[in-house]
Amino acid sequence: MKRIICLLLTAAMLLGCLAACGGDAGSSEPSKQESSQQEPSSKDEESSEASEPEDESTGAKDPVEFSLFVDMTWFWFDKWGTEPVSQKITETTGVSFDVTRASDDQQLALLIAADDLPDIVYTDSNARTALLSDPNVCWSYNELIEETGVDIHATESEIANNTRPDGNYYALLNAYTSQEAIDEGNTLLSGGIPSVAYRTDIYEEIGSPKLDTLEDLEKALLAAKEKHPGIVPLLNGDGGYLHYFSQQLGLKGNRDGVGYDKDGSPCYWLGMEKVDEYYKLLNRFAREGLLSPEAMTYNHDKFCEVRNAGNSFMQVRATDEAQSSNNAAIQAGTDYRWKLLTNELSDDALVGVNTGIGWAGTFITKKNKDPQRAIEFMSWARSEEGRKLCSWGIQGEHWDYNENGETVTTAEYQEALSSGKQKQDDFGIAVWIFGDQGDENAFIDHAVTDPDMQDYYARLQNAVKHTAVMSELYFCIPTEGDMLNIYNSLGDMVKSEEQKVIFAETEEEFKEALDNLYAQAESMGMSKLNEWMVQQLEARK
Amino acid sequence: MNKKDEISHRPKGTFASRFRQQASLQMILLLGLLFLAVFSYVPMVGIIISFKEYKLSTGLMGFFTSEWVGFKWFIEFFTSPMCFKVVRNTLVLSLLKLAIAFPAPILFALLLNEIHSSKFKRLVQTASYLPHFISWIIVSGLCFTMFSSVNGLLNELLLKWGWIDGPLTILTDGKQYWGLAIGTEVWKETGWNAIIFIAAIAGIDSALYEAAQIDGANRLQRIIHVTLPGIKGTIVIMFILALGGLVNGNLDQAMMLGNNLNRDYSEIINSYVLTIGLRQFRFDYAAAVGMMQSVISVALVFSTNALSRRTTGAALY
Repeated sequence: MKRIICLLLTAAMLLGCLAACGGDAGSSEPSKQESSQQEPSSKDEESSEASEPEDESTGAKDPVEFSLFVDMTWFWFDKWGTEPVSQKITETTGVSFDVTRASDDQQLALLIAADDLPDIVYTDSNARTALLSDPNVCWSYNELIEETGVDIHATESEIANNTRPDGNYYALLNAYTSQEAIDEGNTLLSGGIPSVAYRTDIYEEIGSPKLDTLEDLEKALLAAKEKHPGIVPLLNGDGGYLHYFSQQLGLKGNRDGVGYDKDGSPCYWLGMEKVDEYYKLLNRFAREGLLSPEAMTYNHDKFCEVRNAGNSFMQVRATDEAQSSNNAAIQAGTDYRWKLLTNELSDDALVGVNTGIGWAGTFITKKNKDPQRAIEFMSWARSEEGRKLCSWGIQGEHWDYNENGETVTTAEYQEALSSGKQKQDDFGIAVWIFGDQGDENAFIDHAVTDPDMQDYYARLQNAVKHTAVMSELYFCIPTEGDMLNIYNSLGDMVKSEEQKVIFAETEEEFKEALDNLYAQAESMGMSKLNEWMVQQLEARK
Repeated sequence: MNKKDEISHRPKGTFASRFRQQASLQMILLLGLLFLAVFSYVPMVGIIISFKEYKLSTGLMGFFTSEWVGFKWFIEFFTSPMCFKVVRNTLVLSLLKLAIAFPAPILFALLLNEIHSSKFKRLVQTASYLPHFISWIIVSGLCFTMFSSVNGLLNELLLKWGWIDGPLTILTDGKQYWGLAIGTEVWKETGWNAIIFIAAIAGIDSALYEAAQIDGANRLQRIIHVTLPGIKGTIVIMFILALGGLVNGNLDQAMMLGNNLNRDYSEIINSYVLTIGLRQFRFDYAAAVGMMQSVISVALVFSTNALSRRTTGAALY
C-alpha cells in the first residue's frame, strides 16, 4: 500500500512538473483559428465591412480589447479607462486596451525572446524599435495597409524616415516635428526637454540676480551655496539631464548619441565640437561644489525625495518636473515654490537638437488577435480627430474653438489645472498619443492663466526658437551588427568614465581623465563607427 | 571493507529486478534527476550561442540556426577595457570575502558557544539572523540613509562633531566600495552562516571539553584544541563550496550598491553579463563571458577539492 501511494504521489509530481515546464503551448504556437485571424485577408475585410455598423467619420466599431505593452517604466498609467480621454477613445473607436507597463528596460527583450508578445507594443527605445522591426515579430504597416486599404495619414517623408533597411515600416514614430513646423512656430517642444528650475525663497534671499547667461547661473549657485552650505546647489539625477548644459553651449547633436563634428561630418557624441567645453564647465561646477556626485546615482524617486526635503536650490530635470515640484511643495506646506527658467542662457543654445524622426512607435505584433482592427485604430489615432482627442482632450470639455476659430482650453479645465490637477494623471490628456504629430501641440494651452503653466509653455516655446531638426542623423545610429555593439559599448563606457572627468579634483586630473575617455573610446572603435556614420549619411543622400 | 565483503553486499538479481525492488525510492531519485536535467542541464544548450552571432528575434531556434563566429566574443571580452576591471573586482571581492566574511561566522559561532546565558545566547543568535532576511534592495536603502553625503546619518554626526570637514563619499567613491561591500556582507550574512558551525559545535562530545578542562586547558586552549578540530570537516567543506563561488560574486549587492561612479570597483562578472546581455541585448557575448566564468568556477572547485583531499584528508568527493 505504502509503495502504491508513493508511486502515485511521484507520478502526480512528475506530471505537475511536466505541466509547469510545458507552459502555455496554445499561446506560443498560434492555432489555426488564430492564424486565420492574423491574416488580414480580403475576405476578412469584406466580412468586417459587411458586418460592422461602423461610423466612417469616427471609426466606431464593435468592442475589441487589445493587450498593450507600454515599454516605458515611468508611464503615467497601467490601466485603461480610468480617465476621460481613454474612455472617449473607446467610446469613439470601440477599442480598449489591457495595459501592461514595463517593469524594467529588459522586459520587452525577454518578451520577444520568449515569443510572448502582446497585441500591441508602444516603445520609445531605439534599440527595441530595431528589435521589433522584424517581419517575424511585427506586422509592417505597409503590408497591413496594402491588405486593408486604410489611410494611415502619413507624409512621404514620414514613411521614408521610418522605412527600415528591409524596405518595410513597422511603425510611424509619433511626435515628429518638421523643420517647417518649427520655422512657422506651430509647435512646442516636448515637456521632457532638460530645464532648470529654482527655489523662489533662496533666489530672493540671494538678491534675485538676473539669470541670462551661464555665468549668471554659476554666480547664483555659488551665492546659494555660501548661504546654505548644507544643500546641493544644483540637483540632478540619472537620465542625463546635465545635457542641459551641452544644449546651452550649442552642441550639434544629442548626448550619448550622434551629432556633427567641427568639419560637419556625423560622429559619435565624443567627436562633437565643444564636448571638451561641456565637460570643462561641469568639472568647474563640481570643483566649486555646485554638483553632488551622489546625485548622479539618484533615480527619479530619490531625486524627488532629496528635492522635496528642501536639500537643493536649483534642479535640472525635464521641464514638466517643475510642476510636480510645485505640487509637492504645496502639499508639504512650504513657503517656497519652484520657478522654471524659461529663457536660454546663450545665443548659441541649441535646445531641441532633433536627431530623431519622432519619439515613440506603436507596433502591431504578429501575435495580434485582429491586425485589421489594429491598423484601423492607428489610422484613427493619426487622423485629425484622433490626434486632437489624444493630445488635447475632449472638445467642449477640455478645449474648444473661440470666436476667431482658434483652439483654446476651457475655463473649467484651466481652473482644474490651477487647483493642482495634472494634465496627464487626472485627465489622460497627451498620454495615449499613439498618432500624435509634433506640429499640433502649439495650438492649445495658450490661454492658460496659471503662472506656472504660463512658465511651462513659455519655456517650451522659447526652446523651439533654439531648435534644429537633424533627422538625417537618425540613420547614423546603428541598429545591428558590429557597429551596434560598438555604439552600445561606447555608451556604456561613457556613462562611467565621464564621471571621472566631471568630478576630477584638479586640472591635471581632469585632463588625464578626459584623455583617457577619448583613448578608451578610440580603442573601442569610435573612429570606425564615425566612418560608418559618414557612409550611412552618404548612402541616404 | 575488503573486496569480498563488497561483492557479498552487492544486491542480487538483474538491473531490472533490482530497479523493481527499489521502485518507490528510484522514482523519488528520478524526480530529482529530472529536476536537475530540466533546470540545470537543458538550459546549458544555450552555451552554444557564445560561439554564434545570435539575434534575439530568432528565438530559441536561433540557437541552432545562427551563424558560427568561433571565439569572436571571447576575444572581444579579453581585449575590452572592462575585462581587467571586472575580473579583478570579482576576484578581489571574492578573496576579501573569503578572508573576512568566511571566518566571521566561525568566529561568531565560537564566541556564541562561550556564552553561558541561554536567553542572551538565543537573543544574540536571533538578532544576528535577521539581516539575512532583508533583501539587498532594503540594505542599499539603509546604506543611503546611513552613508549618504546629502544628509546621511553618519555624515551628519561626523560633521556635527567636527570630525570631518566635508561629507564622506562612501557610496560613490570607488576606492571605498570594496570596504562597503565586505562590511555589508559581513553584517548581513554572518549570523545566518554561523548556523552550520553552531550546529557542528553542538555535535562535539562534551567529554572532550571536560577532559581538556581536567588537563588544565583554559577557554582559548579549549577552543583551539577541541572546538576547532571538532568542526574542521565542516569548515573545509564550507571552504570548498565557497571557493566554487569565488568567481560568482554577489550580483544583488553589485547591482544595488554599484553605480556609475564606483563602477571601476563594483562591476563584477555577473553584473557585467547582466548589463551586456539584457540591457544591450548581446546575449551571445554575455553567454561567452558567463561561460568563461563557469569554467573557472568548475576548475576552482576541482582543484580545491583535490588539494583538500591531499592536505587534510577531507573532501567533497
